[in-house]
Amino acid sequence: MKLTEKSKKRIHLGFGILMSAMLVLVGILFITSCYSIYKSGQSPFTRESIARAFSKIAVWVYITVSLVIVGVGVSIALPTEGEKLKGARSLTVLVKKLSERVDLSGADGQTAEKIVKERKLRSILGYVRLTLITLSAVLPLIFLLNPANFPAVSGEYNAEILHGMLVYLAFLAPLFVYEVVYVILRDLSLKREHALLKEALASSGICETRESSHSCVICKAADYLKKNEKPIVLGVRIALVGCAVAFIVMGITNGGMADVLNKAIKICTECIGLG
Amino acid sequence: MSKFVTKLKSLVPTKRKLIQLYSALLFNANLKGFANGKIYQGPLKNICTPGLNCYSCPGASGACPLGSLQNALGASEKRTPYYVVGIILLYSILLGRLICGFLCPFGLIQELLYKIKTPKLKKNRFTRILSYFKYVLLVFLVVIVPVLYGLRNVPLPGFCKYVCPAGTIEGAFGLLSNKVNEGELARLGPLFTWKFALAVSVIVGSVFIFRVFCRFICPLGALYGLFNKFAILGIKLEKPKCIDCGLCISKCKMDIREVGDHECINCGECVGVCPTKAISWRGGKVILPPDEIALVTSDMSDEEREVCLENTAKSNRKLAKRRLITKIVAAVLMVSLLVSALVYYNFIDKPIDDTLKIYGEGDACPSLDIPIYNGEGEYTESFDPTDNKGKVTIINFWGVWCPGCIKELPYFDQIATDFYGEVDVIAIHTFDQMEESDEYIEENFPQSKILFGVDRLIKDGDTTSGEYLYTTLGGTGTYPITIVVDPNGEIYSLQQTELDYDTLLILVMAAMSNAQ
Repeated sequence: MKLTEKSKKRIHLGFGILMSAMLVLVGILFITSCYSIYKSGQSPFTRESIARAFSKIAVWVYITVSLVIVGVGVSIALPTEGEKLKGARSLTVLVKKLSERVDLSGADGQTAEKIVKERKLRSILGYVRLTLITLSAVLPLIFLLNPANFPAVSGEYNAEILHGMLVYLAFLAPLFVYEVVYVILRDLSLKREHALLKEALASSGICETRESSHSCVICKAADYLKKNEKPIVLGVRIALVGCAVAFIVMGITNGGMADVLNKAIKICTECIGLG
Repeated sequence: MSKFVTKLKSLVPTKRKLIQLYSALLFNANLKGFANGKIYQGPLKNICTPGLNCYSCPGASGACPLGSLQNALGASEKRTPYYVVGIILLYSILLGRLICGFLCPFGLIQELLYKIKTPKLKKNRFTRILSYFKYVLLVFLVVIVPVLYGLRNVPLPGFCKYVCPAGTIEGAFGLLSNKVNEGELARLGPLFTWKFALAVSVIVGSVFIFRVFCRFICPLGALYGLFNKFAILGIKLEKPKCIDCGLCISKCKMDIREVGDHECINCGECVGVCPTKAISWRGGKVILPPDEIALVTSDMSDEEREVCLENTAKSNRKLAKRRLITKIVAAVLMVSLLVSALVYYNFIDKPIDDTLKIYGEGDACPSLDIPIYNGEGEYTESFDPTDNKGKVTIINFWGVWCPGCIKELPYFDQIATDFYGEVDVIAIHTFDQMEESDEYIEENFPQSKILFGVDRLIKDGDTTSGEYLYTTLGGTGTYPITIVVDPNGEIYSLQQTELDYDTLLILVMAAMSNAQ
């Protein structure tokens, strides 16, 4: 019996879901087993006691490993057609391309006004984003780089670092929330502008080229960088390679290389999580 | 049938996979380490490998750049970390995130896991936002924590200690899986439980999300990504040729906005899908020059056209020969490098001396002659545990770079004070970093009853291949370790773990009760 493409895909999906469930289950079982070993307090642990604890989940591990092996066989025995690639056209690029072709002065006044409004909205959103990024980069650094904001050394670094990380994340939380909001609002605005631009394109003439009307310092600098991209990149590369080589030589002479060796040949068990 | 053949063909590793496998083997060439449960401790470990590969992995042939960077930043008050910064800068400018795509062993592990056929969580605008989380970890755990704690004389590589799943999988699992390191199991505690859970989550997550660790967590990738646009080798997009079809973005599984940006791992999968051939390898034309195109124009006569075509064919034959030679030379170089590495690490590198007597629990403590610090920058006196019969002797091996060692030293100080006259505590620091160790002792334990000593060579050899007091007393490369010698001069206990005051007290009391 010859299977259709659709039924093959269904088999793959069903098998994939089963395998996913098993993998997640085994992952959870591993973590809970490790936690229960630690919680049992039978320290110091031995290979035997750990093997005993993990043997309880062995059957699930064997089933999952077998499923993975069967999965390889299934994918070979029932090959499906690969998914056709669809271009992920970015809305920003689409709008940029379209706006290069539309002459707003020739467009219907109301449409042009709406387009300008959308652009203003996005630039306001962008400025707020820039401000938040700057604040969330600078403020937590001021806080975290001040040792006074950490409790005195008590030997319990874990609690101190967790506290520091939470403070840092608390600073970053508004930025994260805003980023989500920004992405949604920007995309909505771009979609609206895209529709408006199409409308304007239909009603207005198509300009030959769009001359940049900007003359601010940032735009000039951007233009300059664009024009001189190759020599600038080459200059940066040479400078960075020079810096790197100089740093390595200085590091060898100041004993930095010996420090790397010293750290790499002695295992700090806490650093690999044994603790 | 043809689909079946195509499927079978797709199972043949790609060139990139072969390079990934090659580099994973090269960076873990110390295969004997997996068998004997010991890490490579030779001089080549002062070279950082480009990818994330834990130096505590028994197979590791070099140092991890991220671990080295954190340690160097932690000690930056004493020594400016030129070497590590220079190496990372050099890798960044030469290869950028090409390292992630081709050379990182942990990236290979994740890609292999992603091959398991399950429904996948594809990239979207929110995973793109989440991809910035690695920069948060870079700033906080790789830079701020090591620097801040380094200023307090506490070495704390934040990312290695609290997050790095490569350390757990390659280092901890690699060591613990060997029977030789059974003693290390005593160290398992809350930190290991957390890191184990994290490692398992990354492993399971990698099956569903492409390179989950690289995209959201890896600070090394974040660091290399900053230089991606300037890297000498990598993917480049020729903007004039680009028609913004978005096929490259669609093909890419990373959270890129455009080809070659800070998220691009330069895997090159987009090169083949570009309809206008706008994507190519940077530096590729220099290494493997492409065929020339015959410049035939309509005003040429038939004869001229024939000559032109013939010349082009001739030069293309030459170019093809040159490409072939380049490929053969590269392959020969790569194979010889790998073979040399395997031979060096597994056969030439001096293995642990089998003739060396290793003392363990129940053995009589040997005569050791430990050099003792006089508090004035010199090690003029000496201590021998065999002369200390009738008293309990605690010998602790520590290092200024080891957070666990630093944490437990005050407990030893307390025991030395509480049992003064009955218990002698000797804290022996490592042979290197003498200056830092002396400074640390003078600063933190000026009036301590602890006798501070330094490890010394007991057999001929250089600083990396020789055998130390540490080795003969059962040290296997991990720090701290503590040896308790009872009043009869017998080794009562060997603890390969960080101790607290209560445990030390129990050990001392038990050793005291052993007195005849």
